[in-house]
Amino acid sequence: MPLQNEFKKKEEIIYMMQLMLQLFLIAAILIYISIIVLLLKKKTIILQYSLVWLGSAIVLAFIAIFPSSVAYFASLIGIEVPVNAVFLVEGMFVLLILISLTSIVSKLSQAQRELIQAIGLLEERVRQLEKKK
Amino acid sequence: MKVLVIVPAHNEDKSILRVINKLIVDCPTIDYIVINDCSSDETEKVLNNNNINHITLPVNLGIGGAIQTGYKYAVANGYDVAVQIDGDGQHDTKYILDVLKPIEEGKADLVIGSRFITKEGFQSSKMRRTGIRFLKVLIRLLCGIKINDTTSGFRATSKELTKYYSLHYAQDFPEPEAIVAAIVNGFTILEVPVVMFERMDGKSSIRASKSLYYMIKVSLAICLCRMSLKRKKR
Repeated sequence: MPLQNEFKKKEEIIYMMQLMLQLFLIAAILIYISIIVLLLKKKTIILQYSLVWLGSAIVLAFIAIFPSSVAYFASLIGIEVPVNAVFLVEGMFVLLILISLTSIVSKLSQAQRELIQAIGLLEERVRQLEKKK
Repeated sequence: MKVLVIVPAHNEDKSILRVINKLIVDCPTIDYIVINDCSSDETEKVLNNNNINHITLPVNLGIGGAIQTGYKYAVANGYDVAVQIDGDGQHDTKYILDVLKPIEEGKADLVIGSRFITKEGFQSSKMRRTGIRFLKVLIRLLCGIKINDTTSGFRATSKELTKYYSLHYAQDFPEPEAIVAAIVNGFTILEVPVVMFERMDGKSSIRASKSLYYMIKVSLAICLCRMSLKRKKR
């Protein structure tokens, strides 16, 4: 039956594509993790701030190795092509990392303000003490 | 009572000397401190040459951070009342005693010098008055307290409130938010009439292009401040 053969061929192609995608994702995540570990080793990023990066790497690695998990998630919320769910998860992690960056910057700017004020106050005190001498 | 007048100044080399000289004539017994917020003009030179008591910030912090430095100075040196006036000569220093009085009598923790009670003197542009009125309505809705001149930078704070402000003070456009923070933390507020002048030199920290941003930011800040803190009864 030629029609059935055709159908089988198509399915095979889809399967191959998925396999390729899976391999690509695994490779990409391995590179991603090794970059993070390298930066951590060189101490260019502090472990505390890399936790959200590592967390995202672990979740994405899990998805790449067990694609059926994301397929279930995708069907649950009505995404037709499972790979779109992978993009969605990635996008969410990007947002999460951006929020954590904003909070880090806010903390830094607060600390910086306190320091600037303390320097100003100290400088004034030094000036007064020098005057008294 | 030990009183400190805090004068924030950012690029005010033309007016700061006049403001301080008038302050010394009007209130000879009161200490003052100028906060030079990293001015790029000759402000620092003017302050040094005339032996004016001042703190110079190494990095520009904006009006909120500068005022907060003054409050920290007041706390560190044990002042009982801190008065804040602008460095551009808009505020008439002879009203400092009026603003001080309610605090000395223990009637209020925060006294705001308002230009809209007697409606004398410089009344600001119509657009700004609309903005100020909007903030007045907003604060009244959220906190149930009527403040006429919500953006006035002419204010006096009691020792307790000075201490609070030295630890937590709004940044960027701090005046309206600071009022709400005071209300929410159970401090009492009073308004007294003052007369303000039109600024002589220098630019306002709020320019026309920024006014929309200002309104959005301040309104949000007020709402957040109302939400984040519970009203404490003291």
